[in-house]
Amino acid sequence: MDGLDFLSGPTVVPVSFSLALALTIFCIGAAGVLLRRNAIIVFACIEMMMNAANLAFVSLADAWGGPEGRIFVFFVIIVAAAEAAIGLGIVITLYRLHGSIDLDRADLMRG
Amino acid sequence: MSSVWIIPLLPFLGFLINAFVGKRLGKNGVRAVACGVLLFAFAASLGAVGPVLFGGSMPEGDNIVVNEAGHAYEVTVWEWIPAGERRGVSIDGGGGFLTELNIPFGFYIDPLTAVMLLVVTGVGFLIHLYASKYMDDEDEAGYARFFTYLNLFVAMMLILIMGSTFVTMFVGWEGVGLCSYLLIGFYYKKEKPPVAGMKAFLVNRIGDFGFLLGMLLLLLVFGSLRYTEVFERAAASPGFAGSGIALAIALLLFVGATGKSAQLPLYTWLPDAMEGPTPVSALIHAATMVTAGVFMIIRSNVLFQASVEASMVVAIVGGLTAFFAATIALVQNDLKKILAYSTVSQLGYMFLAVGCGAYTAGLFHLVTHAFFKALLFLGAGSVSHAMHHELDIRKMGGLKSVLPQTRLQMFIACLAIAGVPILAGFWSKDEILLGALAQGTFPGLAKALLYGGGLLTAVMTAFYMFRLYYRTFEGEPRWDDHQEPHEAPTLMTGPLWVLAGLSAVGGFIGFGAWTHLPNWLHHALEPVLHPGQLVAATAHFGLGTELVLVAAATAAALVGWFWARTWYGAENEAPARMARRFPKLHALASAKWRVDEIYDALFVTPFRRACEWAGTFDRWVVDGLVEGAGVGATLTGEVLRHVSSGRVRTYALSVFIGAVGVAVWLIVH
Repeated sequence: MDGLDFLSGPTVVPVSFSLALALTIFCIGAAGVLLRRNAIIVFACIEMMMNAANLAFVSLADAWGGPEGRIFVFFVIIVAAAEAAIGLGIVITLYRLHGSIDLDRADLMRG
Repeated sequence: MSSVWIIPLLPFLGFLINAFVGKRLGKNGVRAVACGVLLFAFAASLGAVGPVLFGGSMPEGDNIVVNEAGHAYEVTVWEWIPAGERRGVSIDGGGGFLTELNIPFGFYIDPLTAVMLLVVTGVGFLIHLYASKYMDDEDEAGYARFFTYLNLFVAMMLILIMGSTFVTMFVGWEGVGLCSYLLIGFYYKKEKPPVAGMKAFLVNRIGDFGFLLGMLLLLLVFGSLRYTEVFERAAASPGFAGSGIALAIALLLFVGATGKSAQLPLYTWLPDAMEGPTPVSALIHAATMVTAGVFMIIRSNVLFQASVEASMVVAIVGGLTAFFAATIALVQNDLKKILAYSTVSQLGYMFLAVGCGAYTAGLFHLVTHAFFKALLFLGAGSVSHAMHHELDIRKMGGLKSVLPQTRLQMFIACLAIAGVPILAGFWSKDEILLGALAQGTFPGLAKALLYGGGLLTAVMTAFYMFRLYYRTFEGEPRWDDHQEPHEAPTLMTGPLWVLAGLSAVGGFIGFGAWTHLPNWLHHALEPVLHPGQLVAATAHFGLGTELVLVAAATAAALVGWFWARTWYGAENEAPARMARRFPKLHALASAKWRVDEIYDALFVTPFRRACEWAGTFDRWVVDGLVEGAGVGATLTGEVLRHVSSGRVRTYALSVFIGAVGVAVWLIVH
């Protein structure tokens, strides 16, 4: 009956697993932000990093047992939504200005 | 209701009219306004002094306080500085005076003010009249400007002598200083006058600072600056007389007097002040303003009598100044410079007198000096007018044939100042010398030195005055014929005759005791003088002693006169021989003992150095810091701007590195 243990109750994924997953997603997102030149990809990578943080929040909240982590996730989602609206606006403006969304070509702020 | 306030108001109105519409009035209009207000002020003064000098009935009114003895009245015009209650510092172990510090703007008319009023408005009017002709060479704007200043001066001088508080006196004190500055620098297009004006102003500031400190000390001790209150409290405080604070107050007030009245060591501005027009020299720098210090000491005689030491300092400084300035006057060649040093010397006499507690003698000499010195200056003005602004007596001589009236007037003035019997200066100088010997609180040696110095100065006075007279009017002419000197017009000689008359008979207001004639001035001034330790210790000499002293003073005057006559009456080798025998002494006296150079080296040059050093410090260190900050920021920005590449990914990388750094730091700690 050992093989059917999962039927007898919820099987808990260890916190370390989910944190490792969150770290991996975060690093992929960070690498994307740093390495890619396409604004949309960079934008998506930022979303990935946020969701990595969300994953870390919920898994740690689970281990901790309190509600704060879960509540924080909602905040992050709301911020991400707002950020998505602004970010897409920036991307469209960038396209109008340069005719492309290559981030390296946008250097208006150069000193 | 008393209308004394109209006396200073009249010249002030004249000042306003001449200042704002003077140019449009034309010369005759300005002349009428300027002289007219003075004449009316003189008439108003006669009315105001009646009660205190000639026993008329005192004015009555809500704002008038008549003092108990009935010799003075105080008119309060308005509440000026109502500052509330304060307590004075204790001087005799008591609690100090509790008082409302309430400085009113008002006028105090007592015999002292009355005499000054008559001198200022009377002599002032004559000088205005003279000046209205003398200044005719000016264009209309300059003419109006001159009388604007001159009227303002008289208004300020009247406030100085009529004020009922030390603060009011100080307002007038500063006001006359301002007018003096403006009038010395009247010919502002020339090089020297503005500098001389500035010098007068700056030197006076030193004295004024002392006066101000003295006033603050009075306020601290007596809680008031009203004459009546201060003097009453000073007289009523047994611990005040002889205390250190009395000494400090008297000395600080005296510092103020040395500035305004050109005494050692602050006299150097007065000879330079001769750069101003001659009527200004006569009015401000001989007859009225420079006597303000003497007036102030007589006014505060209660305070000066509280400190014998301070009074002795006053007497010694006065005596030294009289002697010292006379030695310079002996060898000067500029007509007005001789008269300037003579003024300093005569003012020294006045301080000698008031220092010895002979306040009446001081005021007496002030009055007679106003007559004959104004006459001398205006006479000098007539000479320079005739000689086309030549003032060097070496280029004159023999002017008596062309200037017969001026010559006679100057002769009378010289007799008067030298102290030749029955002329004005004889009586006043005699009384001063008598006063020096009569002061019982001074040690014998001090009295002897003061008297001896005074007598020696009298010889020198007669000598330099008659040297001036003989060099100018007698002997062979040393001027070119094309100068064509001419006698002054009647408008100029007229006032001089009045002054000459006053110089001749002005001394009759104070006959010496030996004549057994009534001494009007002494009698009039008696209620002003507090019977303090100096007045109480004044000795009275017998008839014999007095006659000897009078004879000595007369002899001094005659010796000086005849000495000058022998040397300068006709061409004589003696003065040149004397100069050759003592070349260094002669050169030093001619260079005014190099006092200006010494002051330059001691004060002016070091001060300039300090200013230059401070300027350098400011330019390089202070400015360097400020500008360095700016330049530094610019340079830093120049370097740092390359960091800002404008590329988002670079920024993201730096954020990432920063975040990693923070994380590592958190983990390590």
